[in-house]
Formats: sequence, structure tokens, C-alpha cells
Amino acid sequence: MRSAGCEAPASICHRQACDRSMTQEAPDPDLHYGNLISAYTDAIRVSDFKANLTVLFVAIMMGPVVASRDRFPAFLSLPLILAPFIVSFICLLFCVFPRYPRRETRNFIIAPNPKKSDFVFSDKDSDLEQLKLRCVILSGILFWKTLFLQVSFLICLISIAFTFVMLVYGLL
Amino acid sequence: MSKDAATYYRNQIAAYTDAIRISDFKANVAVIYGAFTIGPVMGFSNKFPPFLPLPAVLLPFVVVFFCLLICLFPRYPKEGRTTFIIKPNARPEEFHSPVNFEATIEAQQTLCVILCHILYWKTVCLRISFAIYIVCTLSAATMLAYFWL
Repeated sequence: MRSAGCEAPASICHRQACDRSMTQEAPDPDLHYGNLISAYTDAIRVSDFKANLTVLFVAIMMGPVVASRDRFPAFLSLPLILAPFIVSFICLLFCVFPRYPRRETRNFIIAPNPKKSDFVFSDKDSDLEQLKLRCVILSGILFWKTLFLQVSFLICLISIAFTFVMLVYGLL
Repeated sequence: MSKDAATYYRNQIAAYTDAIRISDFKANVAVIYGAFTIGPVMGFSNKFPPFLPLPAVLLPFVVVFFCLLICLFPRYPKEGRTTFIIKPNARPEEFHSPVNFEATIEAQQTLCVILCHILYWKTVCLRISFAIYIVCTLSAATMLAYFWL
């Protein structure tokens, strides 16, 4: 029951653990940050899914567009036609590029030859500061993913709008 | 504020989230469907009847793609950013937990408003796209039947 995937500050209130008794006192900060982390994770996952499918969409569309280049007006050269595709691909690939910031290495080790001693339980893991740090990291990741996704969507939308104008002009 | 109010808003948020996620999934599949379909349509462009030029055939695709991409466009409205911060260099001090239960309820209400708005526009765009797809598919079927008979 997480609601972050929906591109909004979804989380905040639900997670299985949220079945605590609803009283008038302030909500548990651990729970709040846990929910926020779930929301960020979900939003990041949704962004990745959209980026993956958009890459597929752009790749499929590239074939018919390049194949019909003979029908394009003279001022639209092939490199000019391919430029939006390339920029869109770059943005989408940056969006799905796997990132594990170094600030999180204490809790989430990614190493070629980890040892058992690398994974040590610490009381700090449940610390509010750690939860906040994770929120900060996820917020940064989501920011860049959203930015790249928005840029590539804007390129696609502008290209489609331009195509619409050209098609209408061709019909008239 | 009672326990029922919190449960009510939580359920509302879950319902909106689910509906938005399903809309996104449908839009993603519809985009890929359109992309796969446009290739064969362009391949057979020389067999179209004379009254149907290629730009006229491609226009519905273009409109559908536009609507679907608007539907999928990532949105994080500013009203919700007080709790759901999206910044490249946020600081841990910027993240606060709600001061009391009323604040949580208010955040839930705000979230309901945001999600309702997002779902409305997603549904409008999705309906336009699906309506165009259905009308075009029916037209194609009618024309195929007419030329075949």
C-alpha cells in the first residue's frame, strides 16, 4: 500500500506498519521516514519503468522514421531527424543508469569480494539520522531521474507536435 | 480527528495510487502498441486508397502518441513537495516528521487532492488515445472488409 509510484508524495501514511493505533499524539518519526523511503523507492522504480519503455518506444519509432526519409522536406536532413532520437536516448540511458552514492556505502555495500565482517549490525542503523540520510540520497537520485525523464519526454512531445504540424501542412 | 478519518484517507490514497499506476501501465502498453503498428501501416502506404494520403493515416498516431506521453509525463506538484522533497542536494535537516496527528491528516488530504488531479488528467489523455485507437481500428476493419468483398 505505498503510493509513491504515482508521481506524488504518496507514501507518508501507509505501509503495513502503519496499522498502529491512531491516537492524537505525533506520529512515530521512524515510521514517517520509513514511509518516505518507501515512497522514494517506489517513485524511482516507476521512473525506471517509464524510462525503459520509452527507450523501447523511441527505438521502435526510429525505424519507420528513418525508412521514410525520402518523403521528408528538403530542409530536414537525416542528421537533423536523428538528433532528437539521440538526445532522447542519452537522457533515458542516464535515467536508467545504476547509481549507488558513496554516502550509503556503510549500509549498502557493493564490492567485488565482500567479507562477512563487512556486514556488521549497528544500533545506528535505526537512527533517525541514517533514515534522513537515505531520504536525502533517494531524493537526489529521484531528482536526476525525473529531470532526465522530463527532458526526454519533452523532446518526444515537441517532435510529435512538429510532426503533427508537418503532416497537417502536407495534407493542405 | 479520529482513527476512521485516517483510515479513510489512507484507503483513498491507496485507491488513487492504484488507479494511477494502472493508467500508467495501460499508457505504456498503448505507446508500444502504437509504435509497433505504425511500421506495417507505413510499409503498406502504397496500397492505401487514393482518398487516404499517408499524412492522414499518420495523424491519428501522432495525436495518440502525444496524449500518451502527456499521460506518462512525470509530475511532482509543488504542493506536495513540503514532505516529498525532490532536490539534487537536499540536506537531512530539510526532512521533518509531522508534529502531530492533525498535520498527518492534513498531509493526507493534500495528497488526495494532488492524486485526484493527476488521475483526472491521466484518464482524459488515456480516454482520448483509446478512443482514437478504437475508431481507427474500426475504420481499418471496415475498409478491409469493403475492399475484400
